[in-house]
Amino acid sequence: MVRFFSRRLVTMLLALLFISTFTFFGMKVIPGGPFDSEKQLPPAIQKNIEEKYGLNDPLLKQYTDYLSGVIKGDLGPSFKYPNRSVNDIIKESFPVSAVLGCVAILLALSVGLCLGVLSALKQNQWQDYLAVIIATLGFSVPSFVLAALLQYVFAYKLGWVLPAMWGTWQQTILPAVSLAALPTATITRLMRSNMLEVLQEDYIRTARAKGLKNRVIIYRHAIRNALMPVVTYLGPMVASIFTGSFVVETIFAIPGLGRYFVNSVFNRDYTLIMGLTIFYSIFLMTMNLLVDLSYAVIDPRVKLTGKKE
Amino acid sequence: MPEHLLEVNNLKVSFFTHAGEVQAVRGTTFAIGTGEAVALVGESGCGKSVTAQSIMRLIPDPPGRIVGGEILFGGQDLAKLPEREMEKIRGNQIGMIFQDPMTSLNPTMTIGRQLTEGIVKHQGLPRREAEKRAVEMLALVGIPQPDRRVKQYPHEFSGGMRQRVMIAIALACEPRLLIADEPTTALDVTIQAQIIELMKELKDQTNTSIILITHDLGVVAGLCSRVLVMYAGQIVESGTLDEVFYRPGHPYTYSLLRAVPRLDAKVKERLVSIPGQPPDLLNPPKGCSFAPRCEFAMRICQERPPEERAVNDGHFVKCWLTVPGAPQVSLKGVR
Repeated sequence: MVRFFSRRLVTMLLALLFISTFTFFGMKVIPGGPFDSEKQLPPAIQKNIEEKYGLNDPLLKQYTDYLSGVIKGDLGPSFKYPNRSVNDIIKESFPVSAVLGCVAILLALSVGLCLGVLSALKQNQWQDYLAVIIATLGFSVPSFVLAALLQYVFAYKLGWVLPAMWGTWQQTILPAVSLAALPTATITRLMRSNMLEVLQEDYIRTARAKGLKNRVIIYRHAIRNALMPVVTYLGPMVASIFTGSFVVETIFAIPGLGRYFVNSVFNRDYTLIMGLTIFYSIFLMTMNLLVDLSYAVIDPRVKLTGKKE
Repeated sequence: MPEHLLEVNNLKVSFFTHAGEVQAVRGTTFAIGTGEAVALVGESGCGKSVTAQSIMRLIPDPPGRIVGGEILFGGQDLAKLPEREMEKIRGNQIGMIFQDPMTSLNPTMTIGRQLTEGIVKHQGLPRREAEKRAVEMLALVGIPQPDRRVKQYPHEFSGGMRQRVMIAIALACEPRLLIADEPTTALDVTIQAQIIELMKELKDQTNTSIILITHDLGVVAGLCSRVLVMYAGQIVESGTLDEVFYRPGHPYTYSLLRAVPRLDAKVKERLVSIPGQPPDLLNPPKGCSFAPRCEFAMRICQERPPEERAVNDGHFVKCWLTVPGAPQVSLKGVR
């Protein structure tokens, strides 16, 4: 167990170093900088700004300066939002994205698992077709179309909720639904195919031969074994949903992390790009670690050791 | 003749596929007495397993369905029993062991849990008692350190040990009938012998009746006193072990026995096989189903199915050759 964690920690740090190096030099290669604008700045001011943010240092020095800041937990000042540090931006907007993400994931999990199991049990009956149709729609309708449609029906036509805004729990419903559509569809399909596979297994027949009720067989024997691939998918999905969606956050005017992610690149806001990338990477790797840990809980054959396979 | 525990009368089971109705079992009739061990032998696809799974009502429906006949067990016709009543019989009055012990146990559940769930369901024992019973069962099937092993998962057991666990699960509620569907096929030879020995011991201890399904005639001899030979969904010959093995009345049985490799054969001698293929059960033949492969087939064999006839006390054969006045053929050379 200790060996497992220490190994994972080392690989995570290495991956993080690689990601930050790659991103750092990658964004420097892109033409343009944070302070370029249509109006040419006077050279003196330009020089002053570059001095202030250390942009006229050699590239390698900029890189090491930045990294030493990161190690201390300081992601630096934002280049675009004056007087705000990257830490502040994450601290303010991540909780918003996280709350929205949480609701979306709970929604996707509960609906997706139920639909998946139901359609497997009722294979080739109307419940199955309905679930497959929902899943296909969830896959193919882009979130901005769904979001606009939801706004039109529930906010404009029915007037049940405000079309956009953030603050009350009612206002999380529409964005959460639009955010949950794709993962719901994926979970439904994963769960459906896994259940169909598991129901063919010999141990299901053994369970039937014991005289267990069908319901017991499904809950106790089938679902747990069908859950593994869903758990695998859950790690990256949670990470990407928690860190916010640019499209959904923009449409519903939600002050989350997703908007910063995209805007930071357009603005060449170097520190914000780096900070969000590092933050997302750590989050993703932590989620994957949690997924691996939960394998061991779900499947007793999985043992967490530090050994190479 | 002891009181019959199980009576299968003219059982017909079909699978309804896109291609049409596959008649997997076409009128099977046999009976099993209390404490009796009967072998059901035949080649792959002859309907042995379908017969066994029909008794347990484990045929997946759709596509499979019992289309005719009755399965009398303890005064009830299992073929017509509602599912809820059937649950009380499965695992309780009839236990079943399957072919592949590697896949027949749930990988994410402890052995103990898989053993106790049947005990709790059928005997209504509290959890603690059921666990005690599970340990006893593991000890009974010869698993060392049962109180430790009961907490382990299937992947911590070898193939032979898993089959012992399967036997323990099947016998946990002291069923009156044990159906073993090729219990040794997936095991290597030394383990096969151990499992058969174990089943024999348990049968003698508990007086459980056994239906042993196999295509391994060597396994039959170790455990059973009576043999049913099945071909193309029908029982073509039945009788005591000695009768069927030493005085086979049906050319199919004879060919099967001749196909068993002999230890005293010369090394370079070719193995004997039965030429041809079993009939297509989508369109079963009009006459005797073995006729196309039978070296003694006559014209009537192609035209009308033979009736079952007693050739000796308790030895029945379905073959036109057993009719009085039929040509005498010599089935010599067996053993």
